[in-house]
Amino acid sequence: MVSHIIGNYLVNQGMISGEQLAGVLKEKRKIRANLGLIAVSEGILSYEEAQEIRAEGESDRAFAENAVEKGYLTEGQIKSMLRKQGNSYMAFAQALENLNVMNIEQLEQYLLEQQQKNGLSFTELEDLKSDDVNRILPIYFPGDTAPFLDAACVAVRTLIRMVDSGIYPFKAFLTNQWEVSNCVIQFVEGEKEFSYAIAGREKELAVVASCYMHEPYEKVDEEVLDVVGEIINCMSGLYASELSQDGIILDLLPPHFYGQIREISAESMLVLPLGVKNHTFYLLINRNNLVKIL
Amino acid sequence: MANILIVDDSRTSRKIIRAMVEEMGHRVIAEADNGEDGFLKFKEWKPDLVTLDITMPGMNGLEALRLMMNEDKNAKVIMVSSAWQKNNMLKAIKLGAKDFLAKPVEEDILQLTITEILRKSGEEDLQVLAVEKEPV
Repeated sequence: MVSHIIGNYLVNQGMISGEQLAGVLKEKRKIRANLGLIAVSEGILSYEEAQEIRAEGESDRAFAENAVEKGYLTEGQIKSMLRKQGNSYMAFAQALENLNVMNIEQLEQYLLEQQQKNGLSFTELEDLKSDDVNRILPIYFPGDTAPFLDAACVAVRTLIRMVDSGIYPFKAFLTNQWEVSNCVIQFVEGEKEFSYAIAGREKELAVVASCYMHEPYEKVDEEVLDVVGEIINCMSGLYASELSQDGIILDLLPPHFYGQIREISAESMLVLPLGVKNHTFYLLINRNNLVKIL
Repeated sequence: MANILIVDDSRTSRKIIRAMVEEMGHRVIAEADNGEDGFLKFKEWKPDLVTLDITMPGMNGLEALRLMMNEDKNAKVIMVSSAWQKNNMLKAIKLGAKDFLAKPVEEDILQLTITEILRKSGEEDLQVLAVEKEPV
């Protein structure tokens, strides 16, 4: 998730091109971060120091031995850095560097500037780099949306697992009506009723369905809505299962499918825009079942 | 190879499960999109094994399971549901379901489950055969 959040941000800011981002994401899948890059990212070494140590040996083993010998790093720090080699942010930064798009020092500097500009705390920046949905989503949830966070985390984790690991969020907000052209909604009844909907304005749901089924769907038709219904059913089931740990009994109703609508309205519902493969679709969550589809 | 009946209101879910069980070398002899039709097809086709969704419009999976077990107390039914709610699991097990799978169904888990159920049923069949052959 973090690679797509930062990557798309860099593209939108004109720092890199969409083509470069595609190349970086492809490269990221094949590599692990090297120790020098992790040390710079963690603020343990400067970029110059890491380069100097690396000049004496390219491999991670040589880097670790030289860094310890010269007193730059302790064995404990090396161990901790080794554990971070698989981290998604580190691998993304490494891919940027490997393809000469941006080095880690430039990336970190840019993120710091953006952190200040967007009023993020250092902890939130670290949360973002963690690539953990439960730590990243709160950054996108302003105060009044907090009651929806648990349900949103379950939904986004499910979407990442079933649809695409590159799904990324935009800022969530509350509204009483949202204009969309098609949607699938599932109501869950019981002590703590809720509903999930996945909606789009054009053919975004076809993109979501294509990702899940590994089949090309060109338009939002009955088949696509059925696929999205199955995804929502899994989201609702997993959230209901979580709630059942606290003894809350819920009943999942079959999903409803809408191929041509104008809007969804409710007293107050959460809208979480989500990006996938250059399209934006919407996850809508309601904490009661008073939803109107027009 | 087992003859399998898939009961699920989601066409997508039926398609995914069908692809998985056929890949394992089993045969899907029928599909149904609700509990009532599922029960009718169960009586008609007498499948070796059934995958049965719980949440369906009309007759749900638990009610269909009850009817299937009344029809054949040795029916081999795997409940498939997106919600792992204790109350439903207990009801299904009490009614005689052999196992409970969470959606989205993962192929290796489905394969293990089917293999284990068929293995156990094969052993039970052999025991019955041995008892039948014992001299009076």
